[in-house]
Amino acid sequence: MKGITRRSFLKGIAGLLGLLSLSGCTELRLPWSKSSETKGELIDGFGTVANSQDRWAYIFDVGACIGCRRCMYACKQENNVPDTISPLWIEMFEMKSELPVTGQPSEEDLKGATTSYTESPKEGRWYLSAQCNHCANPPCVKVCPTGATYKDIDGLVLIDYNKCIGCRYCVVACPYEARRFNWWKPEVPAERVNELVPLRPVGVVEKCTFCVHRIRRGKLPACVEACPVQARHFGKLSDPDSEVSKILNSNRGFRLLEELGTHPRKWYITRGEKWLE
Amino acid sequence: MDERLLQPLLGSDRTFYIIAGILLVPIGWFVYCWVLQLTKGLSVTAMRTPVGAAMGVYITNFVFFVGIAHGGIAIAAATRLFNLTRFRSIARIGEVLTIVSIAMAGLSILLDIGRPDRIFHMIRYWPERVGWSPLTWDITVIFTYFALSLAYLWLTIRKDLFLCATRFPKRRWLYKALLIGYRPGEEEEIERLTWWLSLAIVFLVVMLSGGVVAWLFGLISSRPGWFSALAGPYFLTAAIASAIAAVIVIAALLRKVFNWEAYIQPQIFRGLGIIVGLLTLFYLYLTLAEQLTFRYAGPQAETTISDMLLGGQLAPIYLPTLLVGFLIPALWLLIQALRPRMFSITATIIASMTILIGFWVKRFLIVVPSFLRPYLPFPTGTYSPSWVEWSLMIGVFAIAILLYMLFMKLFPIMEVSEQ
Repeated sequence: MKGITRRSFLKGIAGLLGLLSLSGCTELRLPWSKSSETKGELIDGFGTVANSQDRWAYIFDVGACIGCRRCMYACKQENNVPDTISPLWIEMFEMKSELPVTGQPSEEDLKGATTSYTESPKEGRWYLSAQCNHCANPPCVKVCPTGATYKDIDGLVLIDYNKCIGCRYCVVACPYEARRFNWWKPEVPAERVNELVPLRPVGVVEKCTFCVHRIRRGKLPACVEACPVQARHFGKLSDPDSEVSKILNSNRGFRLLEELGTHPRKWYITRGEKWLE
Repeated sequence: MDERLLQPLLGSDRTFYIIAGILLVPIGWFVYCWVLQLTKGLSVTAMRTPVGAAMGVYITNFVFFVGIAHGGIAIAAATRLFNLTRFRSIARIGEVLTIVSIAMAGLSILLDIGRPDRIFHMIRYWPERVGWSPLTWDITVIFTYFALSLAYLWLTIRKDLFLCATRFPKRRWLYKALLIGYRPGEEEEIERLTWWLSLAIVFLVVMLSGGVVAWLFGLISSRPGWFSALAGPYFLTAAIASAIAAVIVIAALLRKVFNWEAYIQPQIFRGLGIIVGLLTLFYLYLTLAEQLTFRYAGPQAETTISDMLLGGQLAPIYLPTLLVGFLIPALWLLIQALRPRMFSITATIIASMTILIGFWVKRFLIVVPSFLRPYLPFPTGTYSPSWVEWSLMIGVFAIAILLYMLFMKLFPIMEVSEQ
């Protein structure tokens, strides 16, 4: 055999492999991929430091909530959520129940539920909010093929928007439907941009972060702050004297879809007039 | 060497160029639509979440192509491992189908993900994710399967290429490059190699369609309708049945076009038809088991999925698929095998084609319904593919056919040295 020898063939293969791995390291830059990240607007990570001692807890009081949706819009404002993300990071369900709220929403409750209610509060209705639960055993983190979504050392489930390939497997794996996908290129008006929150490129997944940029700086999440009836509480479960620890110690509560073994960090309590004594 | 087997390689066949030209139309349209999708994002598809389906026809196509990729090895294993030499004449027809359809499965994934420019992240973060993500398992097994199948095809085609190198001096360089290290008389060694290779690939078939592709769905507890231990055997049955159906259709087409009646015996179609018929009936049994589990004291979420399929918005597709797509053609294949007087190759092709389409639709009905009714009371979504999705899907099929034709134009699709 003349022309190509075994040696030169192998050399060629090695060269090709080298090129391939190089392109893997530098990422293929296609013209359309020039999104916000190339302009240097995307903050890598959240510019905060996690404390491994912290265990966060989010409490939602279904007895107190009046379904006004202020939390949803405060969240949208705070987290640079574009108009193309629908539903928002927090979704409110109006539940129709014959009986007072007793715990886990029953099948009957779920059947009468709607997200498109127009007036609230309404007699005979109660309200349930859903957002990322930052599960202690998060199915979304398990299935991610790149590690773009991860559980931080303080238990928050976060997303590295530069790593995400947009396969939406985490969207599929989340039983709470907490994850949103950027089907459109997200656009947030410059005057509305919150500098502390990274802007997302098109084609990646995003979701509630429990306002990681606020809570790690000692502030409350935007939705908790915006609630006019104190239906939302947030704090450190790791601190026995914190408000959330006290509330959970003295109230009956439930978590959504507990039977799936996800161990959510968002609890629902049922204080207030709708609570069955 | 039999000249008639080299017919696809000979001269300028006008039909070839006409068909290739026709195929370039949907392929050009495919390119336009893909560019559109890349510039506008996946918003041009009908996929949405959480109200709607987060995955649609791209993933359906992926599962379908991974499934028919098993056609090659099913035949090859039959000939090599079990010494069923009568299937030998169509072995390469199946092997090329394997290579082309794995490539198309990969392309479907590229179409589906939001950031195809970052696809290398799958490889870069492979070491840390392979212990966890079923998607990473999938990539691992598909790459291995692709590499082994390609090696298998390459090894078994070499002696034919050696003959072709003298017969077609113009393409000598191509054959020479592929014949690197060739010694006359290496056949015996290659025979041994390919036996072991088939054995390895047979295990991978179970791991691929009966394993990682099925587990992509079966392990997801948050999707009622997917979460099932049955997923493995369910997907494996569908994969092998659809793969052999695809081989029947392609082999019959080539037999007709190139007048290879003497080389591809009718017994081959009868034999493969029986396998497809039995597997399809077994698949129906698995479907029954699945639906019964959904409904008999099933949890609310799963009963809802079942209602959607049996009486709800998807029933007009689901029930005809089971009856016309599976039951009737499967029975037909078995009846004509039992009654030789009723056997006809045309009937076998029609039945196989119907079953093949049935399995595409069935995959769609596995992927999509679980998205439409999530656990939390979001409004019930709908999903019907957008024109971009249809265009890309049809484009993928056109590319597959064109690649197959190109292979036949350049390489012998039949084992010429055997004759």
